[in-house]
Amino acid sequence: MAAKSIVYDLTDIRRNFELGEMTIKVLQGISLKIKSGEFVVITGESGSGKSTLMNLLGMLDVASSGVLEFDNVNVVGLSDDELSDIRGKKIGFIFQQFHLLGTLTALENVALPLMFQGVHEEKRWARAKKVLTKVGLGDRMHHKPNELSGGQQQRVAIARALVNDPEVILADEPTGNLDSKTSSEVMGIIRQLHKEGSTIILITHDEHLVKFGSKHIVLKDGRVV
Amino acid sequence: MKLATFFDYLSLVWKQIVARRRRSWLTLLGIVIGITAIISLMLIGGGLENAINGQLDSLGGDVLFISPKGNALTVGVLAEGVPLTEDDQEEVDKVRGIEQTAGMVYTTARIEFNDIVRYFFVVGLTDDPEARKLIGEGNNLNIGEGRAMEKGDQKKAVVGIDYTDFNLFEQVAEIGDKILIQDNEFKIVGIWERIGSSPDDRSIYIPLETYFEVFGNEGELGIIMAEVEPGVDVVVAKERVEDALRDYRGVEEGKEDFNIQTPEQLAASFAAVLGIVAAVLVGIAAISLIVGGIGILNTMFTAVLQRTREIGLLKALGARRKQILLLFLLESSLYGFVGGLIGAGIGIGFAKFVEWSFENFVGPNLFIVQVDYSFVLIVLIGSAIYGGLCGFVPAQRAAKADAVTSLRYE
Ligand SMILES: Nc1ncnc2c1ncn2[C@@H]1O[C@H](COP(=O)(O)OP(=O)(O)O)[C@@H](O)[C@H]1O
Ligand SMILES: [Mg+2]
Repeated sequence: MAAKSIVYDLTDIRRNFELGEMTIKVLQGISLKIKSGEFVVITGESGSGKSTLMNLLGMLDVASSGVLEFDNVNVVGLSDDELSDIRGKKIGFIFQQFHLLGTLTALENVALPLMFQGVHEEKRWARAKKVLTKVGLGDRMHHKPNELSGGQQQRVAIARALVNDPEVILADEPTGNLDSKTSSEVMGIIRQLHKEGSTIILITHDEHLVKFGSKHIVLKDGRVV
Repeated sequence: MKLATFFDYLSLVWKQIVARRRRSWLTLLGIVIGITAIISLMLIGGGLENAINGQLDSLGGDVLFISPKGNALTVGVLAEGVPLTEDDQEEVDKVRGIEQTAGMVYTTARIEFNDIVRYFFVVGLTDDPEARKLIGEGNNLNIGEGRAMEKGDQKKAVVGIDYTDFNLFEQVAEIGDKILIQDNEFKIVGIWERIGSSPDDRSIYIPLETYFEVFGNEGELGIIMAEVEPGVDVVVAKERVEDALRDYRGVEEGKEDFNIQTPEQLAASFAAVLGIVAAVLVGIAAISLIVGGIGILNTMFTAVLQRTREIGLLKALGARRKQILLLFLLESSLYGFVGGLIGAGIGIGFAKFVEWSFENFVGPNLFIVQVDYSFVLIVLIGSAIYGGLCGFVPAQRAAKADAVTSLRYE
């Protein structure tokens, strides 16, 4: 990966939601660039459009207008499956609600994204074990989510985000459901990933976390302040 | 798709089903009942068909069975019909195209042996070896030990093979033993080979003359068998015998007090019964499968709704539409397959139970269930495909779900 290459290039991104007769303009023209290796912290009041922006960056959602280039490719207009492929190969998600599958063990949860990429079984387990060990859960691999604490569950989710060796990690309030002690553990892992060169975009409304980032973006009413 | 990938998906889906055991069992119920009905229908139907064909084979194709009919005029009373007699037999014997006839009569009687009393059939048989051959063909009578009845035999008996079983009278009967029938002493001169039905193998066969001496009702027969001459059409012969007996017994056409059946007719009446049983089972199977299919559809719709966030997550993790479709199709197919598997197990078990019952209450080797496992496999595959079809619409809904909306679903 060429250093300082541009990962995201957004130009006048807008996202409207139609609610019956009404049009809610959530994002009202966002333009920004995110470079490889950056640790971007996005803050803003509740309802300012942070998650909506994150969904666009993660290609879970499609902008109403504007250009969103990822790896120099405009992703607006790509098909559902094409977007799935990009997510599966290049993006790692960390959600506030962890979103682990309750029927699977930590290891199985972490290996799951690789299954959709058709990665061979042995390789999947090896890779999943490696990232689980990396987040400090080498001894909890065969536990189900309900046998793990909140902090441990979020670490499993981080491992899952890492398993496909993504180009960018998107974390939407990853510490929102955690107490301060476990939340600093989780932040420790994320900072470590940044140090190792990962591109990270973190959404939070916790001002204390801003200092960890290399870049700070504040949203207000759907615009970058 | 690679087989390994398929098993990955299967294991993921299997965990889902196991995790929701309670609901899963309910979902399976309809399919289980449907497949149970189908499998037991095939096995029991096949077994009965074999049994009937086996019986018919032993009858031969050119014998008429003439039996008395219940008197239809005696309303409300289960009347014995006008009996057939040896005179009727003679009349039948004279009919053109009839090679020979044989008469037989039977009743339950008090049998005493080894100071133990039990009640079994006693059969009066002709002492004419030629005529007995006719009955023998019909009833699988072959001498196993000792000798068959001979002309001039009086208080002599040939017994079924069960008399050599210690359990019947707590003593094994042997040639030369004395046995009491209605307090009349008979000498056992022969033992039949196994006939194959329990009542037959427990019967005692005595000469007709002696039978009338013991039981009275001189000359009355239970059944007359008439062998049709080679080259004569069985149906034509039957009509002639019907005419002759009508004249002789003085009854009008359509008011016959006797029945004549050809082996084909016997087969047809068996087949009719079989057809009714089959129709009922097919009906049960169809209804259960429809109910089961709706059950799967309902379960899958619920699953898709309940797992909306999970579907969103799978999309976020890079699952394509087809992959999600496959996951949910596999799940509903698995309901079909597992339901089929359980149903097949119960169906085979039920058929084996029927076989066991036949063996113990009717006779051995009569009704044999042959499990055709390739057929069972086809049913299982069919059941899995059916399950998949029933879950197709919900699965498609899951595949097309929008990632963000799904993830935000409460
Ligand atoms: N699918 C949607 N339909 C209608 N309104 C939506 C939808 N998604 C988000 N919104 C609205 O957009 C606004 C911004 O939401 P969100 O991006 O989740 O804010 P944040 O994450 O900054 O709290 C909110 O007012 C929210 O109600
Ligand atoms: Mg939010």
